[in-house]
Amino acid sequence: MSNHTTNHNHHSRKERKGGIQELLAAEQRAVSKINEAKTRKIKKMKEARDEAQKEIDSYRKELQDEFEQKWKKDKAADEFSLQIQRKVRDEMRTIDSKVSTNKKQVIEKVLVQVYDITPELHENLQVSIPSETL
Amino acid sequence: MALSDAEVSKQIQHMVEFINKEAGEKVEEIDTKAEEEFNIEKGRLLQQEKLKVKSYFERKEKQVEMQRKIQRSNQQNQARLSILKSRDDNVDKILSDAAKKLGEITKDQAKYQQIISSLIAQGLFQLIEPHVNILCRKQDMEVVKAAIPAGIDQYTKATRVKVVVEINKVNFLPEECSGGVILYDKTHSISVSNTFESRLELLSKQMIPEIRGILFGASLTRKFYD
Repeated sequence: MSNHTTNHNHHSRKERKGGIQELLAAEQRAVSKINEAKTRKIKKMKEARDEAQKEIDSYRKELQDEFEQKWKKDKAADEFSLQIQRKVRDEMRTIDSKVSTNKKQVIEKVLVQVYDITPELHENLQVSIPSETL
Repeated sequence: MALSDAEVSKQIQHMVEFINKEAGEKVEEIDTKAEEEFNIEKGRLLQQEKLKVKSYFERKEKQVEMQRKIQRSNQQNQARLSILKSRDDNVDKILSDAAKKLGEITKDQAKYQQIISSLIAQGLFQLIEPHVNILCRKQDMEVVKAAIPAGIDQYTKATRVKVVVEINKVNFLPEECSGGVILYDKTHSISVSNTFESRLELLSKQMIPEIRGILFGASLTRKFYD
């Protein structure tokens, strides 16, 4: 009987030790599960940034393409500069034709002015003063 | 009294289950939170960065537009300047053509003498000196000599002042100049340049607006004529 009891006690101690082990193992498993979840979360956050970056990159590329498409070739500017060149050419032609029509007239007018001299005394000169010397 | 083995085992099992359940809940909580924060973080980043990208391209677009405007305005300006330059060049050309014809009048001796008289009179009027010397071209000596009395006459009539006029017989105007005279007083301190060249120069400055008007028509933008 006493033997049985001893045996029982021994058995029970062993059982109890195994129980604590089991608890510790459960604790350990729990901690590592939670740590795994935390690591997953960190990874998930990194994924968020990566995905966002990817989408932003493609958005930027989209806008860049759009921008280049829109501004690559300035047709209006080409037309504008052609128009200006045409205008200048026309104006130059007009100038040339006007000059060849009016040139003679201008030269004559200038020469007439050169030879047309009107001697005048300065308006401030008092003629009465030097008259004494006469 | 000590618990029976079965009870202990049951108790431990119970605790293990509890630990597992707690851990499972905690893990689930973290995972849910991770999912939530994933969405929040991604959304936040997208919104923030897209805005940046968008405003970058808006700015760039404005810059390009501005550049094009500047470019156009420069082109326009360039065009206007080239037209103005062409006009100016033409006016200069005409004036230099006129300068080449300045001397033609000297072939008409009578007319030339009359002009010299006026030039002398005008010079005298400006100098108002009792003794005046004249510089002329060597080949014009005779004409000038003949023209002096008429010049003095005009001067004396207007001022009632006597004047002695002499031709410089040592120095002359260069032969290649087109005509006219230079008058100076006895001390050489004042002189009046009445050569055709100086008259043309003086006149062309005054006449440029008029010349432009005759050549190209009246300016549409000019506001003041004084």
